Amino acid sequence: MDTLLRIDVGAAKGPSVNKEPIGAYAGMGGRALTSAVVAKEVPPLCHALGPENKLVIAPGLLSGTAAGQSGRLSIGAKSPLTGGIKESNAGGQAAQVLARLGYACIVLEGKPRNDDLYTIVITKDGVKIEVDNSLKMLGNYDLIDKLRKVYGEKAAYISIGPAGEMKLTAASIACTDMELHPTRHAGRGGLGAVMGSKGVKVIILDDEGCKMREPKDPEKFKAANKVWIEGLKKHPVTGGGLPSFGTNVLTNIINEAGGFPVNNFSSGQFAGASKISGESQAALMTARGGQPTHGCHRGCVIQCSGIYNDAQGKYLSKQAEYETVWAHGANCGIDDLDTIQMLDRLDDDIGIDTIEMGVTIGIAMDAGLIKFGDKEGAINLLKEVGKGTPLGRIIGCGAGMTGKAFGVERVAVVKNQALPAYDPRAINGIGVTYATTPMGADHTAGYAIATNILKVGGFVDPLKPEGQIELSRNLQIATAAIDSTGMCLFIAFAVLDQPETFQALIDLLNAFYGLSLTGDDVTALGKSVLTSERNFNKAAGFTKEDDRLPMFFTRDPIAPHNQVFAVKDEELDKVFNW
Amino acid sequence: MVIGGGPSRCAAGRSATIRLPPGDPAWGEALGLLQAGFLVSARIGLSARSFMRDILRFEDEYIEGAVSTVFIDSKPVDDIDAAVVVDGSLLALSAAMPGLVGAVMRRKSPYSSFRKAISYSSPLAGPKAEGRGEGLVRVKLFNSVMRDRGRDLLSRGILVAEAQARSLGAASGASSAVASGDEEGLVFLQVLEG
Ligand code: SF4
Repeated sequence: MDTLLRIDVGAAKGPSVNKEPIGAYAGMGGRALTSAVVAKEVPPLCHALGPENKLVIAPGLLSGTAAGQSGRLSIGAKSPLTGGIKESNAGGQAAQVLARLGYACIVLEGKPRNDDLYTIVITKDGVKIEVDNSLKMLGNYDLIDKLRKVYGEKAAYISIGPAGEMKLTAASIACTDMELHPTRHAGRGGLGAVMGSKGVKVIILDDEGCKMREPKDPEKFKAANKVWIEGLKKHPVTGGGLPSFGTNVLTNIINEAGGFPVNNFSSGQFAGASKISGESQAALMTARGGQPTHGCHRGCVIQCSGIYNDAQGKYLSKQAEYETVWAHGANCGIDDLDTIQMLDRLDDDIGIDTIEMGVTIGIAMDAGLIKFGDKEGAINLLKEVGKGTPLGRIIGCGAGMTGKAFGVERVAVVKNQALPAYDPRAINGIGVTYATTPMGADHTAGYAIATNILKVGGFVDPLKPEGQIELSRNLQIATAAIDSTGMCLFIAFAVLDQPETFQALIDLLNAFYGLSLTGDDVTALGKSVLTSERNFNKAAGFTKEDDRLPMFFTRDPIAPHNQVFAVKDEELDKVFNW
Repeated sequence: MVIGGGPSRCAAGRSATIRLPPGDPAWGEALGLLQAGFLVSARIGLSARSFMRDILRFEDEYIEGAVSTVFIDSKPVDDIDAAVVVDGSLLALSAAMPGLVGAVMRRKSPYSSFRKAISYSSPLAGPKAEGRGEGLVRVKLFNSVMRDRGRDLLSRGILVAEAQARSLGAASGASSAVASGDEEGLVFLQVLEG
């Protein structure tokens, strides 16, 4: 994995392929690598859809190895949605396959000279780029159905749907799962539009004839992997809650806490929560012959991503995740799982971010375009996006754009990216992360990682709650580091609670690369990723005033707790003081 | 006092028993009653821990090891010995949950500062508040707590709205087991395996 694959789609004689040694980017993977390339090679003031922007696709440091849970793919660029740097990651098969093919990353750069649509096929024998305009405006499902007949069942596919081709700023990039469903998306920040601006419809990765990546110290690696997998299996969240109920197990809890935004962030509890909860979803999936416990890629130990069948027992979509169930459900006043799952399928097919779409449809409902709870109306609005009607293009450009177009003040965005499924008025601490992360409002930016074990920014006494600012800082640092390993973020719990599992992760890295990393090195890595991302944003014109929540969060209390977001601006400005 | 005993039965206008074979899909709906919330007529003024142990019959190890997330009236609880269950309380019980916010909600979470504005603060000292007579408490069981303890509670009986009991009766094909009447009224419902 020491080769950088550079594809210039604007080269004079059509797209050119260049394989380079990894050079200055050696030792980086995942988010560390995508952000390093973007920060170094993309002019911060460029247009996100212009020739100067680059789309960087990188597996994690441990992807393509036997390490459990290591199949996360990072995709980075300047975001057309936020105007800042972006890393969005996805599960599915692609990271493992790309890593086994020996590539540390793919960089798509330049601007195509005409409207042709390209397929890029990468095998052990090389890289083939072809024009295939028959694929234009195909949804991701039809696209993969067509391609799998040509390229087979074993390949992994990274693709865009119509939203990416139309360069809508909420467009996502899809990765296929084990069954070749295009269900795992780098959803946030409109990176699908950047892929569309490069004229690339799909990247097909086939690792036939390639071997599993070999560790420097196979014995130590094997031993660490055993401890690692045991740790994931024995923890109640990674070994119990997530496999049994999926991430949507959170619906009941966040609703109970009054932090579950309803009807475009106008209330914090949803009367229909138990109808759309992970518990109800899992029961329905089982009754219909679906599979609640299922992984999104080979080597996933936790297996949070089930298969959802319709009432006839036919595959409809993957088990919608918590954020999707919230966005298309409670935030739109919809308490019907079949509708939410249909919206999830449409999002995946059109190739658009589920969180952004749920928040945007909520805003359209607030504007009176359709009523809250209108199931058919929500489905129709999303179909407009897929068709590219003028209304669909507004919706497909996200919450900020739609709020402006329809004169809605209550638009829950930071850096123009929609807030995910936790109301910062009930849970002030997450508002600190939403406001300050360089990524725009993002719940994964400060995920629960072992700040105690890492001792990021000093030891945190579990019995003495630290300030929200310090914790948000520490969590963001630790998350940036984990995002670079290629590990799915859901490892967080086992790592948080079980020091030996955290140590096993460090041991995996050390045994694989022949290193002797410590927790301090991991901290330093996280800090350097965040620093380069913040510097990019600053050069792109972001100021501290961009690190704020919309004012309604500090003004309008939310039921049932009647709280507002009360963290002062001066406090927010301290998050990155290190 | 345990649920299924006299007061719970008395608080209901009527009672119903539904039998479900072990693999019956209607178990999904039966367990769903527990996540939506049911009523328990019980001694009040108990600490959250005592309520779980004495009323819901959870063992100490289960409370300590599995019930990591507790809400009273939508407020996340840190100290289950100091938190008091009173007449009209809503007690929600869950296992440890994923994600940052899942961690934030846990009892004694190192991230509890993230939700300090909504955390439960006990108005009364737990033990002193015990023994204040009977009252109605609303209980919700989520995720693995629902899965682990649900069938036991259902077999001992819970108080639910009559409409809920009838819906389950219909799903199980035993609609006649639940008499029709006032939709708002409470039914003491027992769901038994077999
Ligand atoms: S835990 Fe879930 S999201 Fe993570 S790799 Fe497994 S199935 Fe995919």
